[in-house]
Amino acid sequence: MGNRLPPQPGEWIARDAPLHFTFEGLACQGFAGDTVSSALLANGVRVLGRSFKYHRPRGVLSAANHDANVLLQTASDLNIRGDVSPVMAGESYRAVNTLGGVKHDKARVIEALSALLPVGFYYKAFHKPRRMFPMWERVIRKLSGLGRIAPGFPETRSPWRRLHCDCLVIGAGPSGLAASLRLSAAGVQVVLADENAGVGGSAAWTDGASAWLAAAQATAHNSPKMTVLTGTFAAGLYSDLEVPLVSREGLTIVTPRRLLVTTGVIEQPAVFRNNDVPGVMLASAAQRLVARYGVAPFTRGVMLAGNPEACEASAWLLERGLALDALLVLPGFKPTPEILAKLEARDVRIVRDVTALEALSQNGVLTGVRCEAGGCELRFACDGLLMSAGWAPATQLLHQGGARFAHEAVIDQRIPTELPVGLYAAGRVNGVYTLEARRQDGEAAADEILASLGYSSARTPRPPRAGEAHSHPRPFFAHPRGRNFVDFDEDIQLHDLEVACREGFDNIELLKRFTTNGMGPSQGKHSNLNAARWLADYHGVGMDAVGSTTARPFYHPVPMGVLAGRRIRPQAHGALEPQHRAAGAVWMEAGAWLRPRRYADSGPTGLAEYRAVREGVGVIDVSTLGKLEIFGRDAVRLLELAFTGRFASLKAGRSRYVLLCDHRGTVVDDGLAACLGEHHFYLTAGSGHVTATCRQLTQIAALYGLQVEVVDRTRQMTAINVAGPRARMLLQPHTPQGIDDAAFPFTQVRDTTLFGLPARMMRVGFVGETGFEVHVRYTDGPHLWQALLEAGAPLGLRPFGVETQRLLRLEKAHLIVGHDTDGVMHPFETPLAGLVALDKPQFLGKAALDLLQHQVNRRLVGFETSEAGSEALEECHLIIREGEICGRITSVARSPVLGKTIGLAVLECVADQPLPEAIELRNGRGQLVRANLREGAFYDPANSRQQEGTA
Amino acid sequence: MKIFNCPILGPRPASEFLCAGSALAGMQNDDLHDARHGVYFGDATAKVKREWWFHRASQLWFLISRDTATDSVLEIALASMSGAQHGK
Repeated sequence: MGNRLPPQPGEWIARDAPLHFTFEGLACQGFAGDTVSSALLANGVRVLGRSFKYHRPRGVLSAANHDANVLLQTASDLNIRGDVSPVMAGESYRAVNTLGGVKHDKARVIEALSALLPVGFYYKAFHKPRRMFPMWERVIRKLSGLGRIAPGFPETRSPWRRLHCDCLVIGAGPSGLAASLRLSAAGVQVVLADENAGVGGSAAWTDGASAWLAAAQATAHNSPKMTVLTGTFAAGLYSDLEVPLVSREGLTIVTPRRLLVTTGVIEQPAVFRNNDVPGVMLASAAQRLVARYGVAPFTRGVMLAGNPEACEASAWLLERGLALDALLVLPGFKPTPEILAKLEARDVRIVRDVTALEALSQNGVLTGVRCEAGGCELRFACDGLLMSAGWAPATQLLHQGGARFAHEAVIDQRIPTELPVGLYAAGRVNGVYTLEARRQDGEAAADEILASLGYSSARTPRPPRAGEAHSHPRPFFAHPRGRNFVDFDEDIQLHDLEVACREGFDNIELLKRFTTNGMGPSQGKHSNLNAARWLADYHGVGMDAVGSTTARPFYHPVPMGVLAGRRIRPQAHGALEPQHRAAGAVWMEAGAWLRPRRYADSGPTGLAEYRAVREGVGVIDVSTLGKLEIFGRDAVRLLELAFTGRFASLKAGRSRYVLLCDHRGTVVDDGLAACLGEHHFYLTAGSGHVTATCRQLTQIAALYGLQVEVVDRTRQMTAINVAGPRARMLLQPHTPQGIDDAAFPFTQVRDTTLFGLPARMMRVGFVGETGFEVHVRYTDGPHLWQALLEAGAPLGLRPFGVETQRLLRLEKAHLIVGHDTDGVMHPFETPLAGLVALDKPQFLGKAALDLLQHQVNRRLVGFETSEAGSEALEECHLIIREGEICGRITSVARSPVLGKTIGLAVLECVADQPLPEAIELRNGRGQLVRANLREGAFYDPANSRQQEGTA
Repeated sequence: MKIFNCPILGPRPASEFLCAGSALAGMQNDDLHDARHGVYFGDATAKVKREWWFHRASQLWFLISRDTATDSVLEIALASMSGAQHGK
């Protein structure tokens, strides 16, 4: 623990709570409150990771959630950010993206080959010869990517929360704190979010002596109108100020009435040879390590100075007892004589107008720095080289909100010039730098927000923006041997930017995509500004002319589990679910419902169920059918406007098959409409489509101002279909009225009682036998089911599942909408063409159908075959004609009663040309199977079994 | 997410609503020179649009005018009370 400093004021570690962990097998000790990176530095470990492309050793760069090269893996998680993730007692960490560990990464050989891998090489290489591509693909896949997912990772799911407030403030630095306190004091509900574990931001150490700041930090947590969310970052900004906040607890989606962005600035590296060697870090990173974790980032340091903060940070580090040997001043930056005198008094050597800068390393870590100044070469031995060259404003959220910016030459920073309604900015992101000015800026922004919310009309003026540059305009040092990195995530060097521009990718967006600069895990937070500055120099234009890329939400990586949330999938429970379960149902999902596919005791193909329906009697739970009740003076008009058929002639007590198309003429639903009285209809619709059908009906009612009510009763009713030659025998003794063909013919409907339960009975024929659909109240469902099973037992009754029902209906060649039809199939392509009454003046889809009746380029046809290979035919197998695809199977099954394979298929055809007699189907083994086309039902084509006695 | 400041329901997130297409054409589509045209070539021009929107929880239909160029909602009216009738 040789690198720990004495206790620091306000440090985050608990020195009385030591903990132990390992890093690639090395036993280490840290304290509660340490991050993995800070604890490793305290143990003298400097190489914390390897870079993505060249596998160069990397260490701490920012210590501020931007160290994309320090990603760790444990047994239960991956891509853990070492610079911000708390170190866990007993955990074993290792670096991602190495072959054999961070110390002796075998993949470092790639760097030796780097001359063969110029920027953009993957756009040009690997394409030829084509047969080599699979080999390259394997190599690339092995080398690319970072952590490794283990299937055994524990599943972590977190909820999504929603939060509403008057004002959300992002960033708890001085301006954010000042604004939040003023807002909450005025009675406004404020949420203050910050990614750090505490409030105050970097001012907590740079301005630690400020009494105002200390008081503000303390008050923030005791303000009743204010919620402080620490350890929480804002990941994006969506319409109407919606902000997803991400924390360890998961995602919180905040919809504030006003949004104040006080996100501050992100320190930027200088670009010089070996600027990535462990030991080279941002000056703010060194301060962070000292102030928060009491870790000495170096024993002998050198400061690279491009802005006033360099001098302040130097003085600050000296005060904390760290040794700084030199201040290397970048050309063009003029520190004040006072601060220089102060530093010189502490034996810091000042070197002005530094050129030809490069870092020196041995065994992968920093050993010194070399530069030239005034014509002399200078060398300093050091293990810490601190970069203080400039800041990029954290404008990502403002950009996403639609703010406009302009480059302010005095500060050398992009400043928001125009903000959309409800969006505010303050603090350093707004170009305001001193502590007092940031406080004023925050309070002035708060006053603007209060005025806009109608709380007060007081207006405080915004303080003037900074009067000097806080960033160096060109912190670049070319070097013939390169390794001067612009982007640390992707190992992009200065030379790569030149190559891209020479190849014509000299626009900021093209440059980004060709080089991948800014496309790594830190999303350009350290590289976009330098790339833009370099490009401005290259073209000799200003920063505004170069522009900038927009970081899209989420602009910081978010774990997939957080995005997935808890994955709420509601499940609908039919009334008969316990009965089906007891009967050994094999389930299938049908929308939100579970339906019995078949029952276990009916054999693997459900043949016993099939036989029961064809020879005796069967019952199936059809409660998932959509069930709509329609009341009102205009009920008939509504049906006429919605469906393709006619309803004016439908008498009370009769039902009619209905077809629904959308306005493009596509078949979207079918069902039965039963007339129960002049102004009263009962409508059944497809299981999956009823919500949409109901919505469609109410829309038409609203459009035409109809006097009609549509009630969706799908989940209020249980429906059971009783079908088979003995169905009547089963039911007749238990219902008061006659149900023979004369009294209750096919398509008849009647409200009556069955087994003493109020029931609506309909004569139907979907499965091709005498059939009764019985609708009862949800709660009566189990009683009816039980009564049917008991009364039917002597008749050989069996419950049957969806699979058997599908086979039975296929034998009747009844299509299922959405299964045999697709998203653009219109009625004239199906056998349902006769249901379209085009002579009606108006109905949904009529305009389209008027045209479509002449555009029949394919047809839904029935086919039958018993040729070899027919047993292997499945849905979606293709129809082949002269070697070309000309259709596909939509339904296929082996018919037990006919002893052959039957099915429905969509077949391409030429309008008005007769269909061929036979087609060829290609099964899964590649065999061509000849099948005859057939019109009408395969089984009982005269329909004598289901509707004997049709009136 | 977009918030609809509905005169009937108050401020509600757009995700509670479903867009059901243009309200100008009613049930007819005058531009059906090819019936499948709309599937692939829907009008995506940025402009003021008047559309049908359905609120799922309340089962109410609204006619909403919005400007897709500025992503702003101009008017929300309950469909059955806003003279939606096209009954020709």
